[in-house]
Amino acid sequence: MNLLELLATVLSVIAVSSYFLSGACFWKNREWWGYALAIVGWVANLGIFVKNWYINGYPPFASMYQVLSDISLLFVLLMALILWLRPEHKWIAPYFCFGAMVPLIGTVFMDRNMRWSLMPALRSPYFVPHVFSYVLSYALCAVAFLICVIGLFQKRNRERYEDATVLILRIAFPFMTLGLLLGALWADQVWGNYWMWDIKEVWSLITASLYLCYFHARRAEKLKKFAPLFCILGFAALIFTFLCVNVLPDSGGSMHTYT
Amino acid sequence: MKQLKASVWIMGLLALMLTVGVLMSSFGFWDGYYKSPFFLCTVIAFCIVTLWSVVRYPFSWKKIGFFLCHIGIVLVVVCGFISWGCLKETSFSIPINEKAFYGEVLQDDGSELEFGFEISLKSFTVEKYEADYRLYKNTEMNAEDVLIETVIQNRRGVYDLGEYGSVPATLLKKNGEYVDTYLLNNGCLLVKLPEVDKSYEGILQIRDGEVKQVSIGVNQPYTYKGWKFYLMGYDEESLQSAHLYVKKDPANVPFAVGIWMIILGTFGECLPLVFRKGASK
Repeated sequence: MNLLELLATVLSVIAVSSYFLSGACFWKNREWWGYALAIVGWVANLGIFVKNWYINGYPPFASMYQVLSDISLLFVLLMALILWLRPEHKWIAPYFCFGAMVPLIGTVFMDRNMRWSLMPALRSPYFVPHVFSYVLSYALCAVAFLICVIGLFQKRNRERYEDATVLILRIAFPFMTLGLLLGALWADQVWGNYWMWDIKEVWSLITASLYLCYFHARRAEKLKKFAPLFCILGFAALIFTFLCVNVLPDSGGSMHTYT
Repeated sequence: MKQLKASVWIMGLLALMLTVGVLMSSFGFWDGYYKSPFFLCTVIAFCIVTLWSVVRYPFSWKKIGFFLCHIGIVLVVVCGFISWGCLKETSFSIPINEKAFYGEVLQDDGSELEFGFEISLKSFTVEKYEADYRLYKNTEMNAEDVLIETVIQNRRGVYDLGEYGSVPATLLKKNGEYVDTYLLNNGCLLVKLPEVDKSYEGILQIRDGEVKQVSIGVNQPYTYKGWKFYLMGYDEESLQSAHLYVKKDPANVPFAVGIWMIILGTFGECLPLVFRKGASK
């Protein structure tokens, strides 16, 4: 293991522990400790991001290892944004901190040494905004899913959980749409078709459709009770799109095999 | 409220049908699923419900996001159908020769596709990434048995061999090209892996009265008189020809307009509510 990789491992451990402790502090209403530890974790996480960019020489959004590190980086920023917009929702802070831990733990067990030579098709101005939009929306959807599920088991204050879920998804969904449709515009530039019915494309559309069902169901009086179901199904489809598409038998023919 | 209920049902149905379709195509059961009448009917029904929502909703500038994204969805679906019916397209190989002009190419069905002008590919260049190497120990033995490191990459001008030291990239270059093998002082051998393309591009000539030269590359198609030319690849062995894809699609631009309407509409519809207190209730 060379020095940079050793540094990356140390930074991962610092970031994961800080995020965990930060979440615990927020949970116990020790806010200032929570903020301080979240900042420590985020700076360590930023170090991993900078290292990935330095080693590869391009924005680190290409491999699963890089994207998982980026997702963690975004959780704290998104938490800060939401707490700034809606201070009354500061109780959701622990969910963001614990959420930031999970992808980083995954990266500890992945091949950090791998450098990707970006194939010509990926060398496009659409590359960073397409992936970044998805990464941002996935991070938010993960937290919304957690809050939605926990809310289902609450007898009191259930409305508080529902409000937080819809607030987070209202930020996530436009970015999910942006990621999906920038992908279509990019596909037209590189392959000559906006839509190819590729496995990953279709799963992304399924995910977006389910979240659309969630938003519409929330506003339809008789279907409101089904809204959490769509949120859960949407997140299940999201996980499948992100992690499991490559396990399907015909995924070798996908245009997204490098993801 | 009726529209909302219908929207949930039709989108739920669409999500279900997409799931069935993607699973069927993943397992190789039915490739033509997305062109089947019942799938297309669901898409049309989805379009009608979306349009119905727009028509029934009283217009207000505050709800511009709602109108943009819903009309955008309908526009995209309609453009998809227009493309399906009117698209002219084909893939073909073209020699890299500035004097070989072509005004028509064969389609997959054997018929000819006429451009109304002529094209030729004047030149073609390929840029490669820095070479990667594989490290073998004790070269007197069978190299396959003593592979130490599968891929060693050039990182900022240096090949890091771990406990076997490091080699500056300049040592591996001869006349600007990376050498195929390099024997180290400690008896280890570096063997070059096949080089990977970084980018490639060509100069396309268009003869329509006068001759015009334009650059064409991956992610950089060129449009002329409604024909859009894409550089898809090249003959890697001989470097004598390139593979182009060409299409004429009347719905290409409106499709992109629809996409931007959906993007702007979704942001316009969702984000203002985030800033408005109590909106979620």
